[in-house]
Amino acid sequence: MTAAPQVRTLPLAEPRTRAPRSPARRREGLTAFLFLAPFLAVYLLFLIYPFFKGIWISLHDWDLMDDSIREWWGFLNYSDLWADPIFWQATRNTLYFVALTVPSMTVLSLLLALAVSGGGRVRAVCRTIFLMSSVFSVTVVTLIWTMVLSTDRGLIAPVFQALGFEPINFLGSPTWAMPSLTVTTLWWGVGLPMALFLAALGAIPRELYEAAELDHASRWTVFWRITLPSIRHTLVLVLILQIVGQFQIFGQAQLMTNGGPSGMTRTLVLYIYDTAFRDWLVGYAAAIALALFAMMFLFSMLQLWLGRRGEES
Amino acid sequence: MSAAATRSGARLWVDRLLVAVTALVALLWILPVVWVLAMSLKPNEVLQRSTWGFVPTPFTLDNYISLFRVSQVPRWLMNSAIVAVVMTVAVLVVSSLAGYAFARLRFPFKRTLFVLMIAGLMIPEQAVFLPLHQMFADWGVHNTHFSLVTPRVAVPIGVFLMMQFFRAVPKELEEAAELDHASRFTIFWKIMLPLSLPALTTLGLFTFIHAWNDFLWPLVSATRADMYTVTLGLGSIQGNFAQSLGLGSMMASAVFASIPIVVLFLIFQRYIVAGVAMSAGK
Amino acid sequence: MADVALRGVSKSYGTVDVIHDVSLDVGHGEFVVFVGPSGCGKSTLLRMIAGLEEVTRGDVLIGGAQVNDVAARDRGVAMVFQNYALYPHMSVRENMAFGLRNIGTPRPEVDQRIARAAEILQLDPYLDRKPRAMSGGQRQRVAIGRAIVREPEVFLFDEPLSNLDAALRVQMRTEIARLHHRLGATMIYVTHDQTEAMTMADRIVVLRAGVIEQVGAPLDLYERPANLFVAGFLGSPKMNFLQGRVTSAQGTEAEVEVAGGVRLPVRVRAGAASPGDGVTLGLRPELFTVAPDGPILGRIEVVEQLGSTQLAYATLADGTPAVAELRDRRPPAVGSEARFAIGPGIRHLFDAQGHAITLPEGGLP
Repeated sequence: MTAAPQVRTLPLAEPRTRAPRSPARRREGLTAFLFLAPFLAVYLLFLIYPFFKGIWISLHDWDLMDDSIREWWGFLNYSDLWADPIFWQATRNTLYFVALTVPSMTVLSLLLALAVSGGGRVRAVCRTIFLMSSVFSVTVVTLIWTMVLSTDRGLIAPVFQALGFEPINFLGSPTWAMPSLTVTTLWWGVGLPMALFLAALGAIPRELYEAAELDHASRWTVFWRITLPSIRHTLVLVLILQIVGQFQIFGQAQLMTNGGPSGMTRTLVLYIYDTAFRDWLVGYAAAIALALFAMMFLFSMLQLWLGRRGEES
Repeated sequence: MSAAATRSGARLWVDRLLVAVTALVALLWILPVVWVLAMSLKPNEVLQRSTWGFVPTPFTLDNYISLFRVSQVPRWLMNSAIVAVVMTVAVLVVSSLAGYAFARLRFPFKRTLFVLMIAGLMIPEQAVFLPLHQMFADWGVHNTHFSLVTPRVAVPIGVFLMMQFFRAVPKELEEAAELDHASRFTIFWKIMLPLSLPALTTLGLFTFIHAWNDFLWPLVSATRADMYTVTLGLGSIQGNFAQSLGLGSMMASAVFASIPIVVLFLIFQRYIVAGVAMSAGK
Repeated sequence: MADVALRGVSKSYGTVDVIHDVSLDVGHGEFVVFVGPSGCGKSTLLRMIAGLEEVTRGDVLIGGAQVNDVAARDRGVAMVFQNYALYPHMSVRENMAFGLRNIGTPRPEVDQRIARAAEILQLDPYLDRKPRAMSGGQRQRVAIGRAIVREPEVFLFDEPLSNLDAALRVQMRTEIARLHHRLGATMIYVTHDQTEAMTMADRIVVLRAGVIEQVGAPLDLYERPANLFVAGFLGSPKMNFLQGRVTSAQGTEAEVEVAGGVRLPVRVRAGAASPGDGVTLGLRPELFTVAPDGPILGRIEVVEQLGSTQLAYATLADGTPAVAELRDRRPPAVGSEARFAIGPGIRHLFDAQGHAITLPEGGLP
């Protein structure tokens, strides 16, 4: 049976003769809903709804305990915030902390990643050590470092004394308090960005290095022209994660210095916490929280935009 | 010796030097931990006089023993364990179900819901912990395990991770199962889940560690000392460290609180690193 | 066993049409091969029959019943995928049992069907192994076994041998052919390899760009291709195409002038050719012989020694490439000039649109 060769008709966009929502499709939609239901339920109830409720609360005078004090204030909290010197101090402190921590964390984690990438027992053990410090909880870390930095019982003080210097009261000094929090955070947080860099370094195809070797490239050249460009994306990712993360600093500020001395380490989240749970001004605290959120959002968008700009160039 | 040979010889020495320096840094890095460990094994009286020393002499296990007899640490440990385990299981179930739906099922508003989910990634816990606190207070569920677990169960990152993983499974496997009369749920349960064990393990580990180390939420939700998680409890005794508890006991609490997590980390380190690599792909 | 029918089937993705108005009948127990270049739509067509792709227009019938809206699992088809699609975490036995268990088949029957399939495909030693511990050929057999135990109406094969190495492919080809004889099942097989099509099919369906070019038994398509595409697609090495012009045509006798003034007689359909028409002459390599007094002049570029035959790749006087299949243990040397004669056999003639105008019984003078 030989069919006559068919003449091809011009493709026309003809309407479908059957409705796209066949019974099979409808069943699939229902199944999908069942699969999504648990997630959506918790998500909407415990993340989306509270977020909007937070905005709602920030427009009220809202007392922590007393139900009767729930008065609509409109944007009063926000105008108070604008005029609040402590808010601005907290913002400056937080920005200062971010400026101290983010670049140093990024550089340190990259250096450590470079140092431990590759084979060998020693490197593997070092890798484990650097990762392990990330696994402790904030309270363990603050306990350790409060002890380490302590003037009379610490690890560093005796070194100072042995060298003939007066030991610095790190946590009590206006100049050294914030940097001390940074050092603590560095020790605590290097693990994750280091792991990200390790993954990125491992993904660079070997052939690039081998070609460079054959091209007599020096170690420095290899680093600048091959390694760094290959991990650009990870660099941007780490920076964004770090900025977003360090903006949220709380535990170290509360447990190590409790915002002191004289408010030098009072960060935004600490301020929110104190306002809500010590001063009972939940409405005001909610406003601060939203201001913080806005700042974080802005920064990460900026970062993303800059990162993308860098890609296009 | 040729120029290349001297270069490679020099290279080798630079390499060795770098490794040595790294090892030194690692040693200094772990020094605080060793120090705390040593202090935990020394009697309180000795520590009153001097905290210096990395070797625990004189040695004593008293600090650990008193942990069980006197302090609330065991109780806190149990709370942490319950919260971490329940939260991990819940997150795995919820995330894998939703992740599969996003990866493979067709349904109306899929794109909108997806964007909604991603948007949630941007909301930090600090933006919602206050209203959540109010909500839970209104329902009267503070100081319960329920309140410590539930806010954290819907994590967009978990759904995202599982979705990426399921997307990578070849479609033909599901088509073959469909032809084999498997219902959607059977496909999910008998084929997708067993295949996603690595992703589940990684997600589970991250969730467990996160649950264990959670501080801000337990701080505001668990106000009774017997409901503290071990992380929170450790924070509560830090303020008093000048006083009665004694340095050795406090160090012992810190060590004890960290043991489960460190052990988990050492056993599953591979998965944690692999998980980071996988999510970096996004 | 059922038959399969396609009636005016088309498929579009948005405004892009990938399958245009395909109609076909596959009979009970027939082995039909869909063959064509990549992107011709053969896999899409197969998946529409399976129910894994939606039909935009037209009807798919299995066993006489329209199945457009019937879910894949309820159509009574079994599919063997190119990548085997075996469940990696289940053993061979579990892979084969999965489908039957999902519909509640009683255990003894499941075991019996698996035993039978294992016996046919020689899978007995592997029943408890996992797919990752097996070679490609073994995995493909398991995939076939999974299809057999379902006792389907229709077997669908989607390029099952593409991932296997050459020797294995030859072996599996004969196994599948043997399977077909043993089961007598209706089988639709998709491949891009024309050798598989020629050797395995009862009928071949040649597809290009979503349209059926020709349907027929392998030898029919080989000896009587309906157009240039089918002629060039089937047969290895490819048919030689020489551009030329009709110099005379009387009834069914015509004469064509090709390559540097060579004139050859061809038999065409009455009235299909007129003098002056541009045509393409198709000559299979086996028609070319090296003859010192042959009319066609060419220069040998490459000689491939295959043992019993040799392939001489030459460039003819007018620059056209040509392949000659020779049986000469001492073929002409590379770079040398050679003369070719056209031996007995079908000479195909295609008009300017590529349609065959050769007389159906053959073009011998």
